[in-house]
Amino acid sequence: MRKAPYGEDTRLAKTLRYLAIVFITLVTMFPFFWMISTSFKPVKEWTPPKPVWVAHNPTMYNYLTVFLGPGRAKGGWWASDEGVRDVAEKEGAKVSLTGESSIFVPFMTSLFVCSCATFLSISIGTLAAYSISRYKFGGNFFSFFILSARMFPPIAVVIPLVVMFSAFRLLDSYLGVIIVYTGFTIPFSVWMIKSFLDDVPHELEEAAVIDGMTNFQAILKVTIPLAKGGIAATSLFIFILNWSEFLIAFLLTSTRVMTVPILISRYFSTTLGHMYGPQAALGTIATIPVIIFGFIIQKHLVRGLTFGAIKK
Amino acid sequence: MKNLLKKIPFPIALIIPIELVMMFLLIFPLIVEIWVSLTNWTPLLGTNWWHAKFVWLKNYYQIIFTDRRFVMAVLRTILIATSCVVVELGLGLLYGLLFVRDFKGKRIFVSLLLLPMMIIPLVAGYNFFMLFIENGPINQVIGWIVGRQVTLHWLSDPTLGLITIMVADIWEWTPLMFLILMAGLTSVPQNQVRAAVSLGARNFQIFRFLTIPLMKPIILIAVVIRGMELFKIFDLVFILTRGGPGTTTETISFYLYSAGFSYMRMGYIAAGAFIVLAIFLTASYYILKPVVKEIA
Amino acid sequence: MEEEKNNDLFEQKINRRELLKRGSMAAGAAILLSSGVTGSLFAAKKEKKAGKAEGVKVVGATAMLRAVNSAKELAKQYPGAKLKVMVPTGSLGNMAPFGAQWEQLTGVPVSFFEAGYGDDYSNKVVQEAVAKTGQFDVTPPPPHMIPTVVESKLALDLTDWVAKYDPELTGPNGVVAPLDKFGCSYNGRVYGLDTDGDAWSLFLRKDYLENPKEQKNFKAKVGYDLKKPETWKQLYDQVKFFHRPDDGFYGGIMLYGSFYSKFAYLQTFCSKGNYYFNDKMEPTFNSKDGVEALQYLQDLSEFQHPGVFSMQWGETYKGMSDGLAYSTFAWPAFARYNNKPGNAAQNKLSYCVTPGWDVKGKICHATMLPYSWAFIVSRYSKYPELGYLWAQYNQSPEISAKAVLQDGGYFDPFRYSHFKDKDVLAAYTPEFMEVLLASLQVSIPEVILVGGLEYMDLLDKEVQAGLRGIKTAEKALSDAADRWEEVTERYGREEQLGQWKSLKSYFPKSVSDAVARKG
Repeated sequence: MRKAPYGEDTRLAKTLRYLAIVFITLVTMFPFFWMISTSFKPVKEWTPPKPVWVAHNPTMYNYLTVFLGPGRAKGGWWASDEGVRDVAEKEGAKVSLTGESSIFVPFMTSLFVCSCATFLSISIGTLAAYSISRYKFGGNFFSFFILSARMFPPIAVVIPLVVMFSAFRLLDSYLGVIIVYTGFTIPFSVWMIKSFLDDVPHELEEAAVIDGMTNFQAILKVTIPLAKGGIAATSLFIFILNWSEFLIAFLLTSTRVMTVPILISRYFSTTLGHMYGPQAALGTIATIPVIIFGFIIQKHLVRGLTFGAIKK
Repeated sequence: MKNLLKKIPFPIALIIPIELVMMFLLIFPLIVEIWVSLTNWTPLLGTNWWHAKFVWLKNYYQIIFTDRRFVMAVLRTILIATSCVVVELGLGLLYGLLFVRDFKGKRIFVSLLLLPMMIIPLVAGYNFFMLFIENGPINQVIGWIVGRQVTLHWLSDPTLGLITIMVADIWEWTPLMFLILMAGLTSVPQNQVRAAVSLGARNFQIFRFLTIPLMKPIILIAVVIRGMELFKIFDLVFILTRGGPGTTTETISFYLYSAGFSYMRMGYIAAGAFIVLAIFLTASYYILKPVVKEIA
Repeated sequence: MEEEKNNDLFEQKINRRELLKRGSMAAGAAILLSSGVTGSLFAAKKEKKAGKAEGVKVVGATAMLRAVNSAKELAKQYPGAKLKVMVPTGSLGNMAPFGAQWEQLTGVPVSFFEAGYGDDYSNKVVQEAVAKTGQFDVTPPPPHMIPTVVESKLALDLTDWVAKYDPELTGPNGVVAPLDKFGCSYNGRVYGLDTDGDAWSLFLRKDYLENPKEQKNFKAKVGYDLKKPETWKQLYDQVKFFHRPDDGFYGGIMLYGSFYSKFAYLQTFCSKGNYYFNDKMEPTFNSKDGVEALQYLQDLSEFQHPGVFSMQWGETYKGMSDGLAYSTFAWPAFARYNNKPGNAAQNKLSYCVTPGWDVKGKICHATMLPYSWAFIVSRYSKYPELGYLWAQYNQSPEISAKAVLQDGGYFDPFRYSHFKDKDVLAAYTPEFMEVLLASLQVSIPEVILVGGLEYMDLLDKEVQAGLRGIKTAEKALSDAADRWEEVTERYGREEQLGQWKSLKSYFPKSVSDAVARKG
């Protein structure tokens, strides 16, 4: 076979590569496919004796549960025809069920909380990253110190955190969750953004300062736009981390604030145990915002995660 | 006031917000945890943590030298972390190599391969639970390949349980490694490559002596970041095996969780958490030492 | 250049020493912060000593009426009072529908919020014990958490209110003994109002048990008549006989997985006429009886559905309802669930009390009563007495009889009056109710002591190791005993012994008689 010069592939190599990619993609997509398939399965087909790949009796009931909340969903779950709320209302009056458990409010809450936390984390992180990048603040020690914040098992920090938040009346509040999410993701934003800033030559800022800008304006108007791609990439990563977080949010909230992961943990019923169908349905829906962001930022994402050690 | 503000050196001014956040969020709990780790505090005694009795280093001593379950959990977590990192790195490299060239539909395939990372870990966990139970599709597919019915206990066997947890984690986080490595591969400076080719180097030699060394910093950072998260692995263990059977698939976080919330031994687990922190700090320091100059 | 000079300056100045200085400043600030925090915690706690209520005259012929009337009177002293109840996910059905009626009758609004199930819910309760935020007034933790919530000072002592308002824990409508004791009391005082009769019963396939052909074959093969098993040996014979994996039908689909295996073990062990501890507070299961009990379960596992080691109760319920197995142990809700028209298992199930062992001539029955729920009142509630009255209302004979019928909840019949209520009998089937009453009367508690969760978890882990063949039965139980001893030492043998003596007195008569017979 003719040996290809570096930079080109033989037909065979191309085909093999294509097959490999398709195979890998299929295997990787399999759990995803299973999740989507499960979201259409009725109760009997979640863990049946013989696995059901595609629902024999597909139903929209899981999605209905997600949108209406388990309390309102009629039939199927409780093996009777009425959801809890209907029974309650039949008994004669309004029942106040806090945290109604339909998807809308938690979805909006998650979006709001995660966006704010991501924004704060990136902003604060950028400032610190700038200081480390340009002024070598703190040497190795400070950088490591920040990174070490992520090394501590969160289980151990949770109780003092709850005590502290309770003293400041931050429990079960949007602000409390935002603060925690910000703090927990700052190490990532500092480390990642610092490396992008390293790639931006600091002569440009000095030139801007000479031209009359203050230091701060120079950062804002010169440096950040140049590192825009990497910052966008970091934002996505941090957003994903916040979006998926469960334990801290669960312990810090009770009635007023509910995020999507907490809602997922609520899909549990007396007669069925874990409700895999609605969980899969909500899981599928919850992936959509992240996928959208990821697709938009994909170009930057590729560039972004190189930590600056690569020079063109 | 404004004069005072002007006097603060600029770099320090930049650091103030992060210091505030870290102080508020991290330092206070850390100090509390250090204090608590030196006591035998448990809510079961009815006292507040600042009243708890000091036992100084007894917790540390006990947990390292007499608590076999903790030591096993640490060793097991190290095993899981190293295996997963190695496999994720290898797979990520493989994917990266496959995707170096452009081809039709590359962007779509990349998007698809990134999906596992974006799914909520809880949901992924339940999904894998359904896949790996005895009457699930994994056993079914294996049965097709082997030719007879197979019921492997993926979730309730000490070895298979660990494998299931690792498979689930690898599935979920290989995309991250893939991205990092792909970026590294595509950023190899072209003039160096051309020089190597003109000197007669073959593909494999270029890869081994040029590409990999250039990518060393990224690889190491990816290893540290992924390793850090793996060390704390909890959700998957909880949903898939609950640390079982017995304690044979327990990780550090799971043991600390049991000891903390079920047994309520808050002082004890605080000591355990600091030991974990110490282990990881040391490990990452040595891993990152060769490249620290380029990063920090 | 000015900029360069600044940069150099900083590279020199901002070195390790500078950082340490700033670090210690930060630490100092944090310590100040923390003392401020703890100071405010103290202040907050002082505020929350809910003012003692003026005495209220108790009027009403039944527990519910007493609760409602007293609450109405009491509410006048707390205008604007609102109650918050934290419930485990999925249990709203037992409480929410009746909240409206409560509000109409007393004028006190009550709201509910769900807080996860299982571990998540327990964590929330623990967190509240530590953080003391007052986020709920009443909550129903399982009785095995009662020592935790009492010792951590979360739960209020209800004994005086019980004496005053009489929720009918005893008496003709009372909670079935011994649940009235171990579901509500701890060290002789009442801390909870138990509201769920979660005793396990044995569920069998009626269409196999009463099938004449099967009966004939069974008698021919095994040597005695096929009927509801009274002893564990008989259950073993039946499970083995009906195990037909080639037809996709298994002898049993019991809970053998992590967290649940301890329940199966404890009832098998106890029904040999044993308590959990002896009079020196040493565990008793590293003995011949204990090993035999574990070996029995090992032997039985051969004839179980292959998935039983990973399944949760949701899956075993589904499996049994779908007709995959001959036998299972389950909570009472299973009977109600399967009794719905249109359900595949309707009319196909037969029930009996958990079998026992022959102990010196008489069969000792002991069935596990895992979980259950008991209302406690939070010390950090602003309206504890009102909260208590609501709990009494919901747990009262009239309301609870309706509550256990609801599908969106976990509560099962637990009062003698339920066993005469025609709606409850219809929902659970009279046949099952007869068995449930008998089961409740021979039910054994979980290890309801300080450190109880730790004891049980450690036992569960060793039982798992034994069942999966990782250790021999002797080694597993001996290791478990060592772990238990460590826990006992840590909490103080004398204190544990005192609590244990109290718990021991709550065991059912069938067990105490058997222990006495053994001598």
